[in-house]
Amino acid sequence: MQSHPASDASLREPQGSRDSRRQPPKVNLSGLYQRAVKEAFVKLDPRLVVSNPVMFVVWLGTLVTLLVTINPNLFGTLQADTNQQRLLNGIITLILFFTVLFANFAEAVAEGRGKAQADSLRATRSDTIARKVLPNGSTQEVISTELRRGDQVKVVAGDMIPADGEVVQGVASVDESAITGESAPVLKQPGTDISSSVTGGTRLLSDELLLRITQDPGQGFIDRMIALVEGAKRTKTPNEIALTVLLAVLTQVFLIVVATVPPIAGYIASFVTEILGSEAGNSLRTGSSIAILISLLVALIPTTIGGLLSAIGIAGMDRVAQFNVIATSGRAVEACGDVNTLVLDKTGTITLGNRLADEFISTNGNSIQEVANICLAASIFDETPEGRSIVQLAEGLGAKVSFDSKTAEGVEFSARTRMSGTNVAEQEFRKGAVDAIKSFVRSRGGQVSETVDQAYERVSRLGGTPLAVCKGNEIYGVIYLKDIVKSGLRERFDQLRRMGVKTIMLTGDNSITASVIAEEAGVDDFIAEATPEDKIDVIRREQAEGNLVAMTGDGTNDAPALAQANVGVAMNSGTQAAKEAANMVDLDSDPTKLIDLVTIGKQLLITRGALTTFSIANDIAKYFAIIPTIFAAAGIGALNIMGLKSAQSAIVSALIYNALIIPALIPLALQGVKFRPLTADQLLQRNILIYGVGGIIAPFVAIKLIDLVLPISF
Amino acid sequence: MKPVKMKPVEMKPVKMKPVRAHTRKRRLPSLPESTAQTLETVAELWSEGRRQKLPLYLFLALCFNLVLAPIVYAAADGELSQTQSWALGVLGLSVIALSVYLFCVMFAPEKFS
Repeated sequence: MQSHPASDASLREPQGSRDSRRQPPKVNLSGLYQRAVKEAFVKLDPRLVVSNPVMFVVWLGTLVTLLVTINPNLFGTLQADTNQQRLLNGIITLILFFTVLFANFAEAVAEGRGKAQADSLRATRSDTIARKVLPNGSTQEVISTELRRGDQVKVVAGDMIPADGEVVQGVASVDESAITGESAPVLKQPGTDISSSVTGGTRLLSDELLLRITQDPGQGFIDRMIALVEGAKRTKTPNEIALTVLLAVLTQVFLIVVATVPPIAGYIASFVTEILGSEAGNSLRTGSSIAILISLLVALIPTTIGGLLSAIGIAGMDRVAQFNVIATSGRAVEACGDVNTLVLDKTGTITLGNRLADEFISTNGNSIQEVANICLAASIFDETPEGRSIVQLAEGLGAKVSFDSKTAEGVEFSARTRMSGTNVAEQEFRKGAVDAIKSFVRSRGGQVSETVDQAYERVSRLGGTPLAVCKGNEIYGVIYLKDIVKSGLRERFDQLRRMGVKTIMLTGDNSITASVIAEEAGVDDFIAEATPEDKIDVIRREQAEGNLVAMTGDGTNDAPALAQANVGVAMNSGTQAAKEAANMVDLDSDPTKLIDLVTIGKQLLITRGALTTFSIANDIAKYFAIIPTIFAAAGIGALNIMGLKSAQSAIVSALIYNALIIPALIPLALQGVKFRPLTADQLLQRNILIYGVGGIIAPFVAIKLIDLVLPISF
Repeated sequence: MKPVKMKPVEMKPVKMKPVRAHTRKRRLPSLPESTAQTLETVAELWSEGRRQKLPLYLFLALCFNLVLAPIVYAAADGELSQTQSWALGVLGLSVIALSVYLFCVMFAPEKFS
């Protein structure tokens, strides 16, 4: 057994855990609240308020109460003191105005965070001088905005990369912290999908690169990210629309209830006048004055959730962005919460991903030295980390190639052939999946011995990936590619299972290896020997069963599956096609983050549900504060169970509570309810207990306290 | 011949009105200037009114209130003044409009997203 060779792949894998290395994106939040206050006033524009039915009703109510403040007798002559009535109407107007303002403020604060992030990204997009390579090979200095797709530029150490592109020539390390927050440099070189793509706005730290520009000005990755996080044209998500309909229905019901109160109050007043005298009758009529009816309406409609609804959605996007993931829409974030199937790649997601050759196992009685020689010959053109680790292990064993590499030709790996290798004159060196190599050898008239199957099974049972190597029609041995399951994944998958999320692992490995890894990681299901087409098939199958599917991908061949999935997360290090097909891009290129995204999505939905429960439960206390006010003269004073000082104080206290609860809940709306991995039933019970019962008790206490503190006495 | 001193012509900035593509302004040469201007204004309001519906609806509601206000006044049996009846009529129409708006939100929420 050979020792694990130190691979140059370790150069590209920064040391330490991701969380310890990654700095949160530098976002300047200074002046956020001042800007939000200004924005809250701008949002008073009725053309903006009209999109929120609850707040539009409050806005109109404010307008009407303002009119009755100016002229208390506008809608009928009141028997009460006009000045007192004007004062009460004025206070009601002010509180209603602040209710709308607080709701606007909540939305503006949530939006402000996204705009601040867009500003910090914009700062990285400054125009730079680029060295454009002319057809004759000379360079010319041009402004980066003049570069077009297909242009070639030369970048040297210390330079800012002028635009998105791919490496044509050179090997260098790049600081991508401006967009990813990742402080460790990333190695860039030509030839592979992943490490050859560079992003404009990042900085070259060493050496020099020749780049081919892949995006025209304004179309680059940072430009698209700015447009996404700014969310200027944010549209409501399906859940938000459904909740808006519910709020509109509740508002409609309470509008009808409140609009029919005056005739009923008038009818009762005529009886009360006969029995208790005209003073009691007038009191009843005054109690149902327009300002008080509007107060009743505003107190009954769910203003809390109406005011915080959009802030919760925007904050969800913001939380995803803080996680260094850019979502194309709120719909994508919300879909994360509804996901019930996760399709995960084994390599890089469940395992560490840097599979390295650990051992050569000889077959057919060949010596290890012979196997090493064949492995070296088959891998000499392989630029992948696995290929290089095979070369290193073989060279460590003293292996040498018996031909001039200039006369040889590399055979690239493809998902169809599942092998790669080298052709030298009449000789064919191949390495790849064991069954693929067996077929290849048989096609050349060779025989496959039992020792190959024994080695294959041995490696598979260790959870490793077996690769067979052959020369022409003879298999020489099996390479053991070792991979390690990421720590803590089993617990994460257990949490997801409790939440009703099924996990499916996809791997190109054989079924024995796949089952060993699946068992170790604790996934629910696995698909072995999967081709890229299998990804899209499994997604379609799950969707046909009514499940919402999330997956990650980085290669061009992942693009159709990313587009098909309900939540497709592309890696920032991936190809342009993958990024365009996905509805989220992970700037850290960490596929495990998909699990965190599901958690954030669920947290968003739980927060929305919790605040809706709280808002509706609040109505009970407000009802008991205002109804006795209106019908006090009808002998229902017993309903004043809070023992509030006076009718006017009760109304004002209820409205002040109604207004203040919105800013009080802004932190909860922005941060989200603390997430717990519970089943849907358990979450419902918990929500009803905390936010339902709490939503009933809290306003009783708060309204009573406000009533005690208020110096109002009419 | 004395040389004539030429004063430089002072160029006064001319206030340019933005061209509004959606309005069709027509000059009516046979009418007096003030009448022509009035007609142009009416024509502009008419074309604007065809584009923006809200002022039209407000105008129609106020017209309808001319019918509604006397009914409220009569029903109040002298308890309300004419102004109060008119205000109450407008308020009633506003509540109905608000109810219609809420129905629109319920049945076509995408329009308000």
